[in-house]
Amino acid sequence: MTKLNAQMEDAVQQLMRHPSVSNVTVQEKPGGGVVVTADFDTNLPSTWRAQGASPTGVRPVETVEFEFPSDYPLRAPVPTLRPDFNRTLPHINPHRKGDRVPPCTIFGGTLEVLHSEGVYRLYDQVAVWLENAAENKLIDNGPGWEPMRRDSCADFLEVDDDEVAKVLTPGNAKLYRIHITWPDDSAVSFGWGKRTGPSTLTPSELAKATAVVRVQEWNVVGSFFVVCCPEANGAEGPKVVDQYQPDSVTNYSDLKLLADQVGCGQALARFAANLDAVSRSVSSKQSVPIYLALAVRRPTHLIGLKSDYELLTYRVDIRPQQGAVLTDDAPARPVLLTTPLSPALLRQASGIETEQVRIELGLVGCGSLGSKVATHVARAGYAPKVLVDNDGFLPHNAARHALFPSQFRRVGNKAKQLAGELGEFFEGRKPTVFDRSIRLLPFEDKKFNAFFSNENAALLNTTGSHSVRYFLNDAPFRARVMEACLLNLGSAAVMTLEGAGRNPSTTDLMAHTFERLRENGLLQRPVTGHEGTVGVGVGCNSVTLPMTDGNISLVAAGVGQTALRLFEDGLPELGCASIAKIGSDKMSVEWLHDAVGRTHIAGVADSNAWSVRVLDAAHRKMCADVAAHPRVETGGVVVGRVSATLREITIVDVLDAPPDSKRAPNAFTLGVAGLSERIDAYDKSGQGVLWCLGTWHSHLQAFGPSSTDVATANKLKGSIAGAVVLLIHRPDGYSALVRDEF
Amino acid sequence: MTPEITFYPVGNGDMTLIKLESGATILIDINIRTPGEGIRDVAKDLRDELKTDEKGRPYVDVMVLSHPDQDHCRGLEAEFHLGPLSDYNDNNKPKKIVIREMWSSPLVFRRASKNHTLSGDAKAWNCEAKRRVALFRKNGIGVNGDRVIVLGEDKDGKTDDLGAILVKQDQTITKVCGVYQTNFSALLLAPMLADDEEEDAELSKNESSVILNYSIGVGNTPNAVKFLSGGDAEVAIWERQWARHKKNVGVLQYNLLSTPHHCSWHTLSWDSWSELRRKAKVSADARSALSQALPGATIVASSNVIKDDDVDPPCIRAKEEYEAIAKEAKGEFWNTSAYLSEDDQQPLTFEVSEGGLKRVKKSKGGVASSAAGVGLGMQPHMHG
Repeated sequence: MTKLNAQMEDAVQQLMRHPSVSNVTVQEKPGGGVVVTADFDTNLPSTWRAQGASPTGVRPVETVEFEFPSDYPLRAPVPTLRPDFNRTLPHINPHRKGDRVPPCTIFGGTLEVLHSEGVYRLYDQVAVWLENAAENKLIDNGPGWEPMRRDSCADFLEVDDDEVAKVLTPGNAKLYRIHITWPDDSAVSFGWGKRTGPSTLTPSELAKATAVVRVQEWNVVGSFFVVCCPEANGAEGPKVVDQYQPDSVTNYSDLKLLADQVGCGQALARFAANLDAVSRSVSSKQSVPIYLALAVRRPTHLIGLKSDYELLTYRVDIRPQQGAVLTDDAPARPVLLTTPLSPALLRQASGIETEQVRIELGLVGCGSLGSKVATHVARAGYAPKVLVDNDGFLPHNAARHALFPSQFRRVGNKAKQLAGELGEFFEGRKPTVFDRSIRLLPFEDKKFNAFFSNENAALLNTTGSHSVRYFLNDAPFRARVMEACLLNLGSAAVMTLEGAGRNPSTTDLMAHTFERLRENGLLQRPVTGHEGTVGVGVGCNSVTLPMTDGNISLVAAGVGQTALRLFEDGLPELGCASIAKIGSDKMSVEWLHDAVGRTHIAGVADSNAWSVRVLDAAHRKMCADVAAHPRVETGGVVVGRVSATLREITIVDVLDAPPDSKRAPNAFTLGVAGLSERIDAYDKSGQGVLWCLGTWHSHLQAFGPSSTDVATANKLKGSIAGAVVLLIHRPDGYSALVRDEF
Repeated sequence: MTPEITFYPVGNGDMTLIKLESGATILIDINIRTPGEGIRDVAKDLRDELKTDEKGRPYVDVMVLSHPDQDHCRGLEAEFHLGPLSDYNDNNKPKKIVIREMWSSPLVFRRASKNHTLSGDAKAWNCEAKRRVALFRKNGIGVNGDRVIVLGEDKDGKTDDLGAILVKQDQTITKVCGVYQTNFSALLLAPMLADDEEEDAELSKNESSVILNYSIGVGNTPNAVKFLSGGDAEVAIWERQWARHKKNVGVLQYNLLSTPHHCSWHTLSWDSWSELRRKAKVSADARSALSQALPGATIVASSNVIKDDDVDPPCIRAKEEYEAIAKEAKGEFWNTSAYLSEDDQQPLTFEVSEGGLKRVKKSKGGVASSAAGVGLGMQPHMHG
């Protein structure tokens, strides 16, 4: 036996151990590597075995040659069958007629399977392939017709097969204009930009098609994609070609033969005659590529497409001359048709099955987080509608922005630049841009009105700015505000989405997330001073937070996923509030999600321009307490935050009443046992963001503050910095008294 | 689903399971011995193949009993539910197997005689078949669990009133549990109704088994596999079959033959093997009846290991005859006790393909998996 390296020796041993295999022999190849020959028992069913072959021509024993390259296992062995093996079966790799027949036994890469599952699996697949070939079960047309293999093409055309197949002209060639580019050595070519073409070729069209333009080291030409349509066979239409055949076209002669076999011979001949006729009056210095397609009608639609027509496409290089342009020996190379970039393709590649687009998305803030989220969304085939940012690029943006430095312009606006790049995903259709402050955006302007008046639109605020949040909170539009930002130098993040009718609002939800952050020990005072900033220029304005791009991406990925879910499912009825904790390993992200019901507004009794908002969580707790004490007044302590600037009090939660509290039918007396300690603890954990705000108690009837309540409120005045609230839970809603002192 | 036929290794006995394309199951005979040294737990093998109903009870759609000898019904009481389904005990472990429809020979209507001393299992079968026949006589065709088909007429008009549940000689069954099957039929060749008492005695002596030629189809090939199954029918029966069908041999043709009576010499000859050994002569007519092998036909001897000795059944001389028949048809001969090997007996399963029978390959002791290097799991598929 030939001397083998250890890996090949193993491979041969494993082949010998396969139950279907006998008579293994090894032969050295002159140029290195070996050919291992083995007899495979094809496990033919009894009747066919006795007859000597299956109806598809598979014999009881088939001899398989495995060609092991000299650098095995860096490359995989290639199995081949006898040259007269039935070539009309599916799953046969391209080869020349008369050569040994190479079965395609592995879906995907053989080399990957070799290294993931071992060489034995390759043998097993050959055995399975032969069994299936015998029973004509190599293919399951359930998912559709499997197109001819185009594994190792060097020529590509970006075209939508379904679109081309819609307009076929039986027995004729249909011409489309396309651009083709190729390098001088002609090793590869790429075609794109299909447009309607002339009905026939004219000398001037051909002259244009052979006028080559140089772009750097590439040739570019406005060439043709010629679709040869099969002749119609009476009312039944073109003939159906339901036999598989390996691609054996290598020159124009082979192509003509194939065209005749699939019913496209007449169309190809007409085009060739047209080309020859007009070539006489055109002179050309060099050959240029054209793509010729045979539209082959299959018995069912192609896998993943709607059309029954398979466009078998080849590149042929032509040079106008006297006499035949397309000579028999002109090389013809298979062209891989690639689906043009489209939202549908992006969604397909993203594994998104629905075609419905249930929301529109806009962004305020096109910085590091916003640009990443927008990119995630665009890559899944959803185009943001509106981008708002008044900021320009500075060099330090290269640290975290989704755009590359080459895509920045010196004085580029972030929204504008991002819109330009996002447009590339959508045939140049860019989001509408507003490159000034959101506060100046004219919501009624027709450019923006469609988005902002759409109740199925979500405006994602990634500015991290309190002032922007408050502005959006009160801005008069119907689109819901979504917000995402990082906190605590990137170790935490929040994401919120307003509920139906913009209730709970974006500020309500932020207050809710503060409470959830507090509960989880994540609420921190904002970092101030030099520890939390990085100077990126001269001047107090030129600072930014130190944070890695990866840190932002951890959060951007989650927000992007949420946005995609909204595109698929639509906006939920309830508000959403999520907090994320980035692990100390700086790579784990844990999100906690809350669905948040409507916020209740308390009527402030002696109105002094304060508003009191009772968030869902606090409301539920008070309702539960009241339900537990139906015949007496009950109460407790309210916690939350106060915006003195807006004169707004937000109640996020309530603390239980101390045990010495007294509940009576007409009064509730808040006890004191342990209360100070609990309030101190809360205020401490509230980090100056949340604190104890006052008291609440229930009224059994629908009436507001009693004289006792007013007296208590007055007594409380000044006990809590800023403002103190006395909240009354009524059967029909809330009343409140607010006492401020600054 | 792909139809399958499985022969269980039960020594000198029969136990065969047919699974049809529709998923319906037909069990022909059982010989469930106590598992132990050299005796496989075929009851477990069988349960592994059966479906369970909505109450989690395993069932066969049909059980055919070729004849009530012990090596064809051993284990019936132990493993199968007998009696009305309302009496089913769900606490049994393992749960007993429900027989939705019984296909029984008319012998159930005869009293035990010296030719037919019935075992407990045989009596249990007779009792259950009679229960179902009585229900039919009272209420008409019953529900699953009460269904019965009687295969062949009995003498003296004992079966004349069975109407819809009686299948006569040369008639074809196309339904399973009352449901028409597109890729299945079964032609009843025996038991034959004797013309007179003398012939009846003769037939009885020769093990008046049920003989069915099953057609098991797949896809667009309804006759992909014809399976001739003849219980313990002996030489006189096969000679009569030849006499009846020699002008229409199609009814005797097969792709798969289960050698009658565990590869017994008495199927093929009137002579005694132990007395005459190699001088014993083959009955030309019986051989003709049993040699209508279609191309590639497979012959399976459900028997003990066949040795070159005086024993019969199985008889080495019968084996040689069957091997010759298989060879003429370019087919194969199998012995259930030698698959995979005498020491490692496993159910022998064939798939029914449009091209005939296809053996479901098994490998010894997981050689394939260790050779494939997948013993500890494959590498995960990564994406980048």
